Amino acid sequence: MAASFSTFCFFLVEDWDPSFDVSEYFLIAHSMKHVVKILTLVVAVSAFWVALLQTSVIPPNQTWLLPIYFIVSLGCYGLLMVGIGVMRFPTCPQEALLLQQDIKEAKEYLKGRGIDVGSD
Amino acid sequence: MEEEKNKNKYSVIVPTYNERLNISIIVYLIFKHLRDVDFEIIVVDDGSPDGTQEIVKQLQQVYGEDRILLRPRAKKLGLGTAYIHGLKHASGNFVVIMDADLSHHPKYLPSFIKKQLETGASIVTGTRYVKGGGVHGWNLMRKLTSRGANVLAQTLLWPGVSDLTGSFRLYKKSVLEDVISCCVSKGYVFQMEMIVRASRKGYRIEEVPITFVDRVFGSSKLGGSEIVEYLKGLAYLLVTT
Repeated sequence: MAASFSTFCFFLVEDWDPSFDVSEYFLIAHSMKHVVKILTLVVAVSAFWVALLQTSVIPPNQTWLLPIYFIVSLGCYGLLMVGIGVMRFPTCPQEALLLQQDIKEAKEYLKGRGIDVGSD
Repeated sequence: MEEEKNKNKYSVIVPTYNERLNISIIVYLIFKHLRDVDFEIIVVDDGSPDGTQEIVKQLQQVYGEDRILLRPRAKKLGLGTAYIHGLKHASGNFVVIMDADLSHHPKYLPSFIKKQLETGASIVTGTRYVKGGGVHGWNLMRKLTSRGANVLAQTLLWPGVSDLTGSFRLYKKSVLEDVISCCVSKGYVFQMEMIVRASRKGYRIEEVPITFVDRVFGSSKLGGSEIVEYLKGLAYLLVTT
Protein backbone atom coordinates (compact mmCIF):
# COMPACT_ATOMS: atom_id res chain seq x y z
CA MET A 1 0.00 0.00 0.00
CA ALA A 2 2.81 2.42 0.92
CA ALA A 3 4.62 1.64 -2.33
CA SER A 4 1.54 2.20 -4.46
CA PHE A 5 0.77 5.40 -2.61
CA SER A 6 4.21 6.82 -3.33
CA THR A 7 3.77 5.92 -7.01
CA PHE A 8 0.48 7.73 -6.90
CA CYS A 9 2.15 10.87 -5.46
CA PHE A 10 4.88 10.66 -8.10
CA PHE A 11 2.31 10.70 -10.90
CA LEU A 12 0.48 13.56 -9.24
CA VAL A 13 3.67 15.61 -9.11
CA GLU A 14 4.45 14.77 -12.72
CA ASP A 15 1.03 16.02 -13.83
CA TRP A 16 0.97 18.96 -11.45
CA ASP A 17 0.24 22.32 -12.99
CA PRO A 18 0.83 25.39 -10.74
CA SER A 19 -1.64 27.56 -12.72
CA PHE A 20 -4.46 25.28 -11.62
CA ASP A 21 -8.04 26.46 -11.68
CA VAL A 22 -11.30 24.54 -11.58
CA SER A 23 -12.03 24.79 -15.32
CA GLU A 24 -8.72 23.08 -16.01
CA TYR A 25 -9.58 20.19 -13.75
CA PHE A 26 -11.10 18.12 -16.54
CA LEU A 27 -8.13 18.73 -18.81
CA ILE A 28 -5.81 17.46 -16.12
CA ALA A 29 -8.06 14.50 -15.44
CA HIS A 30 -7.91 13.77 -19.15
CA SER A 31 -4.11 13.83 -19.20
CA MET A 32 -3.88 11.57 -16.14
CA LYS A 33 -2.34 8.21 -16.88
CA HIS A 34 -4.85 5.45 -16.52
CA VAL A 35 -3.02 3.78 -13.65
CA VAL A 36 -3.38 7.04 -11.69
CA LYS A 37 -7.15 7.01 -12.18
CA ILE A 38 -7.31 3.47 -10.84
CA LEU A 39 -5.01 4.27 -7.90
CA THR A 40 -7.14 7.33 -7.12
CA LEU A 41 -10.12 5.03 -6.87
CA VAL A 42 -8.19 2.62 -4.65
CA VAL A 43 -7.09 5.46 -2.36
CA ALA A 44 -10.63 6.85 -2.16
CA VAL A 45 -12.07 3.45 -1.25
CA SER A 46 -9.27 2.85 1.28
CA ALA A 47 -9.95 6.25 2.87
CA PHE A 48 -13.60 5.35 3.19
CA TRP A 49 -12.63 2.06 4.81
CA VAL A 50 -10.26 3.76 7.28
CA ALA A 51 -13.05 6.21 8.12
CA LEU A 52 -15.36 3.28 8.82
CA LEU A 53 -12.71 1.75 11.10
CA GLN A 54 -12.25 5.04 12.98
CA THR A 55 -15.92 5.87 13.48
CA SER A 56 -17.00 2.29 14.31
CA VAL A 57 -20.38 2.71 12.56
CA ILE A 58 -20.34 -1.03 12.09
CA PRO A 59 -18.40 -3.35 14.47
CA PRO A 60 -14.63 -3.05 13.74
CA ASN A 61 -14.10 -6.82 13.61
CA GLN A 62 -16.44 -6.84 10.57
CA THR A 63 -14.89 -3.73 9.05
CA TRP A 64 -11.50 -5.50 9.06
CA LEU A 65 -12.94 -8.18 6.77
CA LEU A 66 -14.35 -5.75 4.18
CA PRO A 67 -11.21 -5.69 1.95
CA ILE A 68 -11.31 -9.50 1.80
CA TYR A 69 -14.99 -9.41 0.81
CA PHE A 70 -14.10 -6.80 -1.80
CA ILE A 71 -11.31 -8.88 -3.35
CA VAL A 72 -13.41 -12.05 -3.31
CA SER A 73 -16.35 -10.30 -4.99
CA LEU A 74 -13.99 -8.81 -7.58
CA GLY A 75 -12.74 -12.32 -8.35
CA CYS A 76 -16.31 -13.64 -8.56
CA TYR A 77 -17.24 -10.81 -10.92
CA GLY A 78 -14.31 -11.70 -13.19
CA LEU A 79 -15.09 -15.43 -13.21
CA LEU A 80 -18.78 -14.75 -13.80
CA MET A 81 -18.06 -12.42 -16.74
CA VAL A 82 -15.66 -14.94 -18.31
CA GLY A 83 -18.17 -17.77 -17.73
CA ILE A 84 -21.10 -15.89 -19.25
CA GLY A 85 -18.85 -14.74 -22.09
CA VAL A 86 -17.76 -18.26 -22.97
CA MET A 87 -21.30 -19.67 -22.71
CA ARG A 88 -22.77 -16.94 -24.90
CA PHE A 89 -19.80 -16.72 -27.25
CA PRO A 90 -21.24 -15.68 -30.63
CA THR A 91 -20.42 -18.26 -33.28
CA CYS A 92 -21.14 -18.30 -37.01
CA PRO A 93 -20.86 -21.79 -38.56
CA GLN A 94 -22.97 -20.69 -41.55
CA GLU A 95 -20.32 -18.08 -42.39
CA ALA A 96 -17.75 -20.82 -43.01
CA LEU A 97 -20.06 -22.35 -45.63
CA LEU A 98 -20.75 -18.99 -47.27
CA LEU A 99 -17.02 -18.36 -47.42
CA GLN A 100 -16.46 -21.69 -49.19
CA GLN A 101 -19.03 -20.63 -51.81
CA ASP A 102 -17.34 -17.25 -52.22
CA ILE A 103 -13.96 -18.92 -52.67
CA LYS A 104 -15.38 -21.22 -55.35
CA GLU A 105 -17.01 -18.31 -57.15
CA ALA A 106 -13.81 -16.24 -57.00
CA LYS A 107 -11.69 -19.12 -58.28
CA GLU A 108 -13.94 -19.66 -61.29
CA TYR A 109 -13.91 -15.97 -62.19
CA LEU A 110 -10.16 -15.60 -61.73
CA LYS A 111 -9.37 -18.77 -63.68
CA GLY A 112 -11.36 -17.32 -66.57
CA ARG A 113 -9.15 -14.20 -66.43
CA GLY A 114 -5.97 -16.24 -66.61
CA ILE A 115 -4.93 -15.90 -63.00
CA ASP A 116 -3.18 -18.87 -61.45
CA VAL A 117 -5.44 -20.12 -58.64
CA GLY A 118 -4.36 -23.75 -58.88
CA SER A 119 -2.41 -24.30 -55.71
CA ASP A 120 -2.74 -22.93 -52.22
CA MET B 1 -27.83 6.24 -53.40
CA GLU B 2 -25.83 7.24 -50.41
CA GLU B 3 -22.66 6.15 -52.12
CA GLU B 4 -23.29 8.51 -55.06
CA LYS B 5 -22.64 11.39 -52.70
CA ASN B 6 -19.58 9.70 -51.30
CA LYS B 7 -16.56 11.59 -52.62
CA ASN B 8 -14.12 9.85 -50.31
CA LYS B 9 -11.34 7.57 -51.44
CA TYR B 10 -10.54 4.44 -49.47
CA SER B 11 -7.11 2.80 -49.43
CA VAL B 12 -7.30 -0.83 -48.37
CA ILE B 13 -3.97 -1.97 -46.94
CA VAL B 14 -3.44 -5.74 -46.95
CA PRO B 15 -0.16 -7.06 -45.53
CA THR B 16 0.71 -10.48 -46.98
CA TYR B 17 3.13 -13.30 -46.42
CA ASN B 18 2.60 -16.50 -48.45
CA GLU B 19 -0.99 -15.70 -49.41
CA ARG B 20 -0.90 -16.36 -53.18
CA LEU B 21 -4.37 -17.92 -53.31
CA ASN B 22 -6.01 -15.82 -50.60
CA ILE B 23 -4.87 -12.48 -52.02
CA SER B 24 -6.58 -13.10 -55.36
CA ILE B 25 -9.80 -14.15 -53.62
CA ILE B 26 -9.65 -11.09 -51.34
CA VAL B 27 -9.15 -8.79 -54.34
CA TYR B 28 -12.05 -10.39 -56.22
CA LEU B 29 -14.33 -10.04 -53.19
CA ILE B 30 -13.33 -6.41 -52.54
CA PHE B 31 -14.18 -5.49 -56.13
CA LYS B 32 -17.43 -7.44 -55.85
CA HIS B 33 -18.60 -5.69 -52.68
CA LEU B 34 -17.30 -2.14 -53.24
CA ARG B 35 -19.00 -1.19 -56.50
CA ASP B 36 -19.76 2.51 -56.29
CA VAL B 37 -16.85 3.55 -54.12
CA ASP B 38 -13.49 5.03 -55.11
CA PHE B 39 -10.84 2.77 -53.66
CA GLU B 40 -7.40 1.27 -54.14
CA ILE B 41 -5.85 -1.89 -52.72
CA ILE B 42 -2.31 -1.67 -51.39
CA VAL B 43 -0.63 -5.06 -51.00
CA VAL B 44 2.40 -4.94 -48.72
CA ASP B 45 4.17 -8.23 -49.33
CA ASP B 46 7.08 -9.20 -47.12
CA GLY B 47 9.08 -11.11 -49.72
CA SER B 48 6.83 -14.21 -49.82
CA PRO B 49 8.69 -17.17 -51.32
CA ASP B 50 5.44 -18.69 -52.68
CA GLY B 51 5.04 -16.16 -55.51
CA THR B 52 2.38 -13.93 -53.96
CA GLN B 53 3.86 -10.97 -55.82
CA GLU B 54 3.53 -12.68 -59.23
CA ILE B 55 -0.16 -13.27 -58.53
CA VAL B 56 -0.60 -9.62 -57.54
CA LYS B 57 1.01 -8.58 -60.84
CA GLN B 58 -1.45 -10.82 -62.71
CA LEU B 59 -4.29 -9.21 -60.75
CA GLN B 60 -2.97 -5.77 -61.76
CA GLN B 61 -3.33 -6.83 -65.42
CA VAL B 62 -7.01 -7.64 -64.81
CA TYR B 63 -8.05 -4.81 -62.49
CA GLY B 64 -5.52 -2.08 -63.34
CA GLU B 65 -2.28 -0.93 -61.76
CA ASP B 66 -3.99 2.16 -60.39
CA ARG B 67 -6.47 0.03 -58.41
CA ILE B 68 -4.04 -2.55 -57.06
CA LEU B 69 -0.72 -1.29 -55.80
CA LEU B 70 2.07 -3.72 -55.01
CA ARG B 71 4.43 -2.23 -52.46
CA PRO B 72 6.70 -5.11 -51.40
CA ARG B 73 9.40 -5.21 -48.77
CA ALA B 74 12.51 -7.35 -48.85
CA LYS B 75 11.77 -9.56 -45.85
CA LYS B 76 9.37 -10.21 -42.99
CA LEU B 77 9.45 -7.02 -40.93
CA GLY B 78 6.31 -7.16 -38.81
CA LEU B 79 2.72 -5.96 -39.02
CA GLY B 80 3.04 -2.48 -37.53
CA THR B 81 5.73 -1.37 -39.98
CA ALA B 82 3.76 -2.97 -42.83
CA TYR B 83 0.89 -0.58 -42.09
CA ILE B 84 3.28 2.38 -41.96
CA HIS B 85 4.82 1.27 -45.25
CA GLY B 86 1.41 0.92 -46.92
CA LEU B 87 0.26 4.22 -45.45
CA LYS B 88 3.12 6.06 -47.19
CA HIS B 89 1.70 4.98 -50.55
CA ALA B 90 -1.98 5.53 -49.73
CA SER B 91 -3.74 8.22 -51.78
CA GLY B 92 -7.16 7.90 -50.12
CA ASN B 93 -8.44 10.07 -47.26
CA PHE B 94 -9.57 6.90 -45.51
CA VAL B 95 -7.58 3.74 -44.84
CA VAL B 96 -8.93 0.24 -44.26
CA ILE B 97 -6.72 -2.37 -42.66
CA MET B 98 -7.54 -6.04 -43.04
CA ASP B 99 -5.87 -9.45 -42.86
CA ALA B 100 -5.20 -11.40 -46.05
CA ASP B 101 -6.07 -14.84 -44.68
CA LEU B 102 -9.83 -14.48 -45.39
CA SER B 103 -10.70 -14.31 -41.70
CA HIS B 104 -11.84 -10.76 -42.54
CA HIS B 105 -14.52 -10.87 -45.23
CA PRO B 106 -14.69 -7.90 -47.66
CA LYS B 107 -18.50 -8.08 -47.61
CA TYR B 108 -18.38 -6.05 -44.39
CA LEU B 109 -16.59 -3.11 -46.03
CA PRO B 110 -19.84 -1.34 -47.05
CA SER B 111 -21.07 -1.43 -43.44
CA PHE B 112 -17.78 0.13 -42.24
CA ILE B 113 -18.13 2.91 -44.83
CA LYS B 114 -21.83 3.43 -44.09
CA LYS B 115 -21.19 3.65 -40.35
CA GLN B 116 -18.42 6.19 -40.89
CA LEU B 117 -20.62 8.34 -43.17
CA GLU B 118 -23.52 8.21 -40.70
CA THR B 119 -21.52 9.06 -37.60
CA GLY B 120 -18.48 10.96 -38.87
CA ALA B 121 -16.34 8.69 -36.69
CA SER B 122 -12.54 8.80 -36.95
CA ILE B 123 -12.28 5.05 -36.56
CA VAL B 124 -14.75 2.26 -37.30
CA THR B 125 -13.63 -1.03 -35.81
CA GLY B 126 -15.01 -4.49 -36.50
CA THR B 127 -16.20 -6.35 -33.42
CA ARG B 128 -16.78 -10.09 -33.09
CA TYR B 129 -18.43 -9.92 -29.69
CA VAL B 130 -21.83 -8.32 -30.42
CA LYS B 131 -25.07 -9.48 -32.01
CA GLY B 132 -24.54 -10.06 -35.71
CA GLY B 133 -20.87 -10.79 -35.18
CA GLY B 134 -19.15 -14.02 -34.24
CA VAL B 135 -16.27 -16.40 -34.55
CA HIS B 136 -15.98 -19.77 -36.27
CA GLY B 137 -13.27 -22.36 -35.77
CA TRP B 138 -12.25 -21.67 -32.17
CA ASN B 139 -12.13 -24.41 -29.56
CA LEU B 140 -13.17 -23.96 -25.93
CA MET B 141 -9.64 -23.09 -24.78
CA ARG B 142 -9.34 -20.36 -27.40
CA LYS B 143 -12.72 -18.91 -26.43
CA LEU B 144 -11.75 -19.02 -22.76
CA THR B 145 -8.45 -17.16 -23.22
CA SER B 146 -10.11 -14.65 -25.51
CA ARG B 147 -12.84 -13.92 -22.97
CA GLY B 148 -10.42 -13.81 -20.06
CA ALA B 149 -8.17 -11.39 -21.90
CA ASN B 150 -11.15 -9.25 -22.81
CA VAL B 151 -12.62 -9.07 -19.29
CA LEU B 152 -9.18 -8.19 -17.89
CA ALA B 153 -8.63 -5.43 -20.43
CA GLN B 154 -12.16 -4.04 -20.05
CA THR B 155 -11.83 -3.96 -16.24
CA LEU B 156 -8.39 -2.36 -16.20
CA LEU B 157 -8.40 -0.05 -19.22
CA TRP B 158 -12.06 1.05 -19.71
CA PRO B 159 -11.42 1.45 -23.44
CA GLY B 160 -15.03 1.95 -24.55
CA VAL B 161 -14.59 -0.62 -27.34
CA SER B 162 -15.83 -4.20 -27.10
CA ASP B 163 -13.25 -5.92 -29.33
CA LEU B 164 -9.73 -4.66 -28.58
CA THR B 165 -7.60 -7.16 -30.44
CA GLY B 166 -9.47 -7.29 -33.74
CA SER B 167 -7.62 -5.77 -36.67
CA PHE B 168 -10.38 -5.17 -39.24
CA ARG B 169 -10.71 -1.39 -39.04
CA LEU B 170 -11.38 1.76 -41.02
CA TYR B 171 -9.43 4.90 -40.12
CA LYS B 172 -9.37 8.49 -41.25
CA LYS B 173 -5.92 8.60 -42.83
CA SER B 174 -4.70 11.48 -40.67
CA VAL B 175 -5.90 9.68 -37.53
CA LEU B 176 -4.10 6.48 -38.42
CA GLU B 177 -0.90 8.44 -39.09
CA ASP B 178 -1.22 10.18 -35.75
CA VAL B 179 -2.01 7.07 -33.70
CA ILE B 180 0.44 4.68 -35.36
CA SER B 181 3.35 7.04 -34.75
CA CYS B 182 3.06 6.55 -30.97
CA CYS B 183 2.56 2.77 -30.97
CA VAL B 184 5.47 0.49 -30.15
CA SER B 185 3.90 -2.90 -29.33
CA LYS B 186 3.77 -6.03 -31.46
CA GLY B 187 1.17 -8.69 -32.28
CA TYR B 188 -2.15 -8.68 -30.44
CA VAL B 189 -0.99 -5.91 -28.14
CA PHE B 190 -0.32 -3.66 -31.15
CA GLN B 191 -4.01 -3.73 -32.16
CA MET B 192 -5.00 -3.04 -28.56
CA GLU B 193 -2.50 -0.18 -28.21
CA MET B 194 -3.78 1.47 -31.40
CA ILE B 195 -7.40 1.53 -30.27
CA VAL B 196 -6.66 2.47 -26.63
CA ARG B 197 -4.38 5.37 -27.66
CA ALA B 198 -6.95 6.56 -30.18
CA SER B 199 -9.63 6.42 -27.50
CA ARG B 200 -7.46 8.39 -25.03
CA LYS B 201 -6.72 11.01 -27.67
CA GLY B 202 -10.45 11.59 -27.86
CA TYR B 203 -11.07 10.29 -31.37
CA ARG B 204 -14.59 9.08 -31.99
CA ILE B 205 -14.68 5.30 -32.40
CA GLU B 206 -17.68 3.36 -33.70
CA GLU B 207 -18.17 -0.39 -34.02
CA VAL B 208 -19.74 -2.66 -36.62
CA PRO B 209 -20.34 -6.41 -36.17
CA ILE B 210 -18.11 -8.72 -38.19
CA THR B 211 -17.72 -12.47 -38.34
CA PHE B 212 -14.34 -14.10 -38.09
CA VAL B 213 -13.80 -17.45 -39.78
CA ASP B 214 -10.59 -19.11 -38.65
CA ARG B 215 -9.65 -21.51 -41.43
CA VAL B 216 -6.06 -22.24 -40.54
CA PHE B 217 -5.99 -24.62 -37.64
CA GLY B 218 -3.30 -23.86 -35.11
CA SER B 219 -2.74 -20.33 -36.37
CA SER B 220 -4.63 -18.91 -33.44
CA LYS B 221 -3.20 -21.17 -30.76
CA LEU B 222 -2.29 -19.15 -27.73
CA GLY B 223 0.71 -20.38 -25.75
CA GLY B 224 2.02 -19.34 -22.37
CA SER B 225 4.44 -16.84 -23.87
CA GLU B 226 1.62 -15.05 -25.73
CA ILE B 227 -0.29 -14.73 -22.48
CA VAL B 228 2.77 -13.27 -20.73
CA GLU B 229 3.25 -10.82 -23.63
CA TYR B 230 -0.40 -9.84 -23.39
CA LEU B 231 -0.17 -9.16 -19.63
CA LYS B 232 3.01 -7.11 -20.16
CA GLY B 233 1.21 -5.16 -22.86
CA LEU B 234 -1.71 -4.51 -20.54
CA ALA B 235 0.63 -3.21 -17.81
CA TYR B 236 2.43 -1.07 -20.38
CA LEU B 237 -0.84 0.50 -21.52
CA LEU B 238 -1.92 1.09 -17.92
CA VAL B 239 1.10 3.26 -17.16
CA THR B 240 1.52 4.98 -20.54
CA THR B 241 -2.01 5.88 -21.61
